[in-house]
Amino acid sequence: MMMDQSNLHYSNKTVRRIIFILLLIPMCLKAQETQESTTRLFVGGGWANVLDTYLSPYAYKGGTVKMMIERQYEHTMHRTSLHVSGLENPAGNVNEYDFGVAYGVAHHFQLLQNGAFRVKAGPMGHFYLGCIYNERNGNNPAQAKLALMLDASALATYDFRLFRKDFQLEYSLDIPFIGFAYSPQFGQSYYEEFSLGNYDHNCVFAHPFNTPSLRQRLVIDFKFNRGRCLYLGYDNELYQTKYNELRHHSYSHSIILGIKL
Amino acid sequence: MKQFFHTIVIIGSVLALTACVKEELPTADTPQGNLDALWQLLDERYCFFDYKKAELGVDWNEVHERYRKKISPKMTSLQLFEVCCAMIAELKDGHVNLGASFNLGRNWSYWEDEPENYYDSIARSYLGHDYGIAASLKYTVLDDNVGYVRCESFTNDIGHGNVSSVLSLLAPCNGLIIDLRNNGGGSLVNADCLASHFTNEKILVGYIYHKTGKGHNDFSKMEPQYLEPAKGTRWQKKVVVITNRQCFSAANDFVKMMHCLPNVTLLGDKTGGGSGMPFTQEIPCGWSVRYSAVVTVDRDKKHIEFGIEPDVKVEMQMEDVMRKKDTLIERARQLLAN
Repeated sequence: MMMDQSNLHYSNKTVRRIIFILLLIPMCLKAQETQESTTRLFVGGGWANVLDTYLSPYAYKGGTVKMMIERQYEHTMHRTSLHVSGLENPAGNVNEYDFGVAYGVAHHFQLLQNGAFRVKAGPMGHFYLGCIYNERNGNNPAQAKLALMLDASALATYDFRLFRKDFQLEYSLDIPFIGFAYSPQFGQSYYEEFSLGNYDHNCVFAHPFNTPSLRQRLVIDFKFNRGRCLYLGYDNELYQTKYNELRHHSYSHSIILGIKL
Repeated sequence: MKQFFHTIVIIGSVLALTACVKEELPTADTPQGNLDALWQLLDERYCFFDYKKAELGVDWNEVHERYRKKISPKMTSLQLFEVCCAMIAELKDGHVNLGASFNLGRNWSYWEDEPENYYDSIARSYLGHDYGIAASLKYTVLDDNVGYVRCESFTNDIGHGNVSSVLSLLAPCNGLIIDLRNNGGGSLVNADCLASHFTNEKILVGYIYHKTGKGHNDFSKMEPQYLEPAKGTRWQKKVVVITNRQCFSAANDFVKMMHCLPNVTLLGDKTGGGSGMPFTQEIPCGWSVRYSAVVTVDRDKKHIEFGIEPDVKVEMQMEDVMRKKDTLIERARQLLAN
């Protein structure tokens, strides 16, 4: 049976429980912070492709720059990131800007350790706040993005030696699983939402069928003397949503460069 | 636990990689592709199809078939623009526009084919030279101690402080004229702000609803629109709102609100309408498409898309024009004097 989003009803109790669990994750992981940690700063740039049918039926393409700070404990990982994209419509006569900040905290369990190859996976609480602004539109000039998600997160590392140097190859994958996201209704104006306060399914229950997305990253770690490291990698976000008959995708491919702080 | 996460990762990867969210409208930047995209965009998002079918007999599928025949692969941009504009003009909606760098496609027949009932030089003579300006409100006191406020647009911000100051200065007047003629609209927030200074209690003024899907009848429930009294100065005496066919969009909504108030008389010509709040999208060649997306109706749930009738119908008389008198303002003064 196909489920219509508008027909889904969730009791306040269930909603409160899920939000409570999502908010509890960073608090529970606070205890981990007494352990030794590695903090990494990444900056990068690349190509972005953004579709948001509240603003335009067509995908806008352009460049993106991003920055990430990641603190890794033995089992816990905190990641804060921000990105800004400058985009253009297919005809090349309108600009759009996409920017957002995200915070994620993951707890990874050791799943596999086979010599130099290790795999860890676990849940990740993920918060995103952003906006897409179209410089031409009148009463629908922007699309606000707000999401609180529970993701499935995995991290695989492989240590190796080459040219008598130590290297580490790291692959991470996050898949949004369940949570809540903001979305206007198909033809709803911000005047109705924010000036009149009219609610219409603006808090959407997100799940893999309406949020089929992933974030992945491949990083190679060049180790130098005295524990200094340089990271070079590829970052890929495939974020897609179908809420309230509105379609959104945000694809980005970036080359990232990082240092150990 | 291990198996659970393996399963989640595999399922999630398969979903993400197979369920791509793509464009749904035609993407080909060809004459046919652009016309089809324009037609489909409006078909899915325009909010007045049933009303326009009932009032004008517009059959949107028939319109598509008729205009597709006018498309040829070798036609120029100007020719395509002409065909597309003729197609959207069938809807007779001032909020439906096609925007290209060289022209704006529109149907303004709601006022272009009607008497204007306004002469700018004559109306300005009532303001004189010493009138006040508060945001986009121009105001003065006429000889017979009637306050006169000219509101030409709701585009620029009007604050409660502006309205309170104007009404306080005009408080000794016997009555107030709000001349709304040629006000083509702007922000509903500004219209709400001005109207809120003319009520002492929260009153129902209309309903608002929007599309929830691509079907012509996919609408949200009607949400009531209330006019709440402003905290600043509130006008307690008689008011005459002067209207003409160019009172459109937010100005039409202002008239809708004022029409619900007991001390207010609408005078002049029917408003131009435009009760759909417009959104903007585009077609493959980059031309912007503006269309009515959100419906507002009056407190009786009746459409005001084609305008609001005045309480007192008055047209500009040529003999008054020759004497440099504004028939509508003079009639409003008489009403307030009585």
